[in-house]
Amino acid sequence: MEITIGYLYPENLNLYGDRGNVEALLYNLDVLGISGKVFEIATSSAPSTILKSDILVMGGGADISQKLVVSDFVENKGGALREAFHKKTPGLFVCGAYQLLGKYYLPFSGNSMLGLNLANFYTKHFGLNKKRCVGNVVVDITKSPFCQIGFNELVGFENHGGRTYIADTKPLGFVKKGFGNNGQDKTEGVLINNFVGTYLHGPILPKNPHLTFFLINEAVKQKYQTNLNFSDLGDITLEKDAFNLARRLKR
Amino acid sequence: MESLIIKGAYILTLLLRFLKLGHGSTLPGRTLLKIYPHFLNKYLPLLSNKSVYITGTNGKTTISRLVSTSLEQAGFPIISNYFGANLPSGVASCLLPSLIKPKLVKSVLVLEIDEGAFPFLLGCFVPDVVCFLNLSRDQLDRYGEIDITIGKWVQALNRVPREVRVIYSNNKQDGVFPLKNLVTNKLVDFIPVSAVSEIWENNQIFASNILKSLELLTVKTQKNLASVTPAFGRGEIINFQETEFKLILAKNPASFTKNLISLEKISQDKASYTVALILNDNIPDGRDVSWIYDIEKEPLLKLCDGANKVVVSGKRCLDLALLCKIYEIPKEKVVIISDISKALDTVASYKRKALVFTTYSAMLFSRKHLKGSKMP
Repeated sequence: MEITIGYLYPENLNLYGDRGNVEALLYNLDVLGISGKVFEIATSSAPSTILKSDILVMGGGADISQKLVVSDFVENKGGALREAFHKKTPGLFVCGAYQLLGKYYLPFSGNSMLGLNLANFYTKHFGLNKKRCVGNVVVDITKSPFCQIGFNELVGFENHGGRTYIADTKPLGFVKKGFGNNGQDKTEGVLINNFVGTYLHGPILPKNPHLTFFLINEAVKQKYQTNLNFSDLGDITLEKDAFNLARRLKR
Repeated sequence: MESLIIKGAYILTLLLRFLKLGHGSTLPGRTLLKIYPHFLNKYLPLLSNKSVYITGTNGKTTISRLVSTSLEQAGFPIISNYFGANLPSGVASCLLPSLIKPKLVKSVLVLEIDEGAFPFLLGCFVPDVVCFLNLSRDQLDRYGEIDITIGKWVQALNRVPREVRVIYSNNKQDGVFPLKNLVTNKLVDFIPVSAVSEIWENNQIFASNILKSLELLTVKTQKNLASVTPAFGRGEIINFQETEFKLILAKNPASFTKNLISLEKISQDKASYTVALILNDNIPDGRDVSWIYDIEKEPLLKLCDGANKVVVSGKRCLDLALLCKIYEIPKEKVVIISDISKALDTVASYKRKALVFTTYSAMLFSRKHLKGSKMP
């Protein structure tokens, strides 16, 4: 088996170690005996690169770098991304990338940025007077399709000025610790088709092997119509220890 | 009354040092600024003969030390926040010894300034020279995005009422070059400096540019520059249990990668050294440890490949261990010991040259352990 990771805009959106998500996917693909490949997708790459990817990964960045990619993401590659979304390609969209999946992002100064509009949610930045959402996060994901025995939470670190309001969109989970989408309604991220939108850095995948497994398994399901077992990830004692340590961190 | 408050704060400094509770490099100043908020506005100009603020994410402690040492050896009276206490409280504290003297001596102020505190301090006092080294994201959880920090610097510079020379790195990756185009104040004179990758050489370049802009670059100060040794934790060498420890402050991906590359040569000498990586997530370290995945992978693997062992330690050692696992550094090579003292003892037991990469609070702790003193 061979799985291709489409890594969007590594040149622009590479804040907070989100590259580690790609590394974690590659490592776990290797453990599962699947050959993993990375496609770096830049603003100059053809939209078809999106459709050749079995898993999409996109990280966050400062407002300024987000602005550099937004028109390519929404206009040039929008059609391909929508197609990938509808055929249930798994994707991981962190922070700034997550915000661009929604209807729009309203910065505290300047015009709003239109997003892909895959579901009914939007993000607003209230300016420097409203507290930035920063700190360790623990998210309850008991009811989620990627919950595994011993892993019914997600752990990570959030750092965002924008607040996201998801209305009736399905959240990724509910915060036990941390701000999550907006610091008010306890929701964190979204799970729409197989696209995961989240504010969690850390990076998220190394310490949450259940989410890594979900992305890989969904990709294998789409491409090879077969299922993998979580236990095939082998000895994940270290991941479990790091996960448990992160669960106990102060907010 | 004023002089009484100053004396009181100074006594507090001496007390803290006597009791070995620290250098007294922040608490006295913090107390002082509470009682007397305009302290800096009044005394910085009174004490300044010439002055420089040095700010940026990486290198400010080392460069301040280079500048102040070379001037001091040339006989200039110097005021500097040597211990890296670079918030307003630290700046206030470092003025105290000079204010206690019976006669006020105008000195060269060599002050390293925290990136976030820079606008405030520029508002208190405009020095002759400002040096912007670089801006990297290790402080993001404290100050938000880089463009926000740049924006605040620009605002502050646009308000200065007197001429100021601004030295800045015009290398793109250092992230401070947009300043030149954003500042509209005609009183600001920009001097670009081309940074180089070799860290020590780079520091020397900035230090000599600062001296030049202060009009203090002489044959003597230039010669003094070359003879300075690294500040604590910045490549400092400490002998501990017959083992040579090199302490490297690695608080963000940029400084980590730079240091890895500058140590590349040693990796040809297989198993001649041990690598220790120590990661804490206290406030001075940055609470977010995601950045370890932004360290350039190739130089990290190269250095670890040549080491006999890779010891990971500190509060977040498991994150480091997981990074090693994902990068497929052989399991047998990676030793996990969260307790820093025990980890350093273990490193010493290998009897090889030790390269210790640590975050800020872990560095202070490591140094205490290796030096066997209470003071960092």
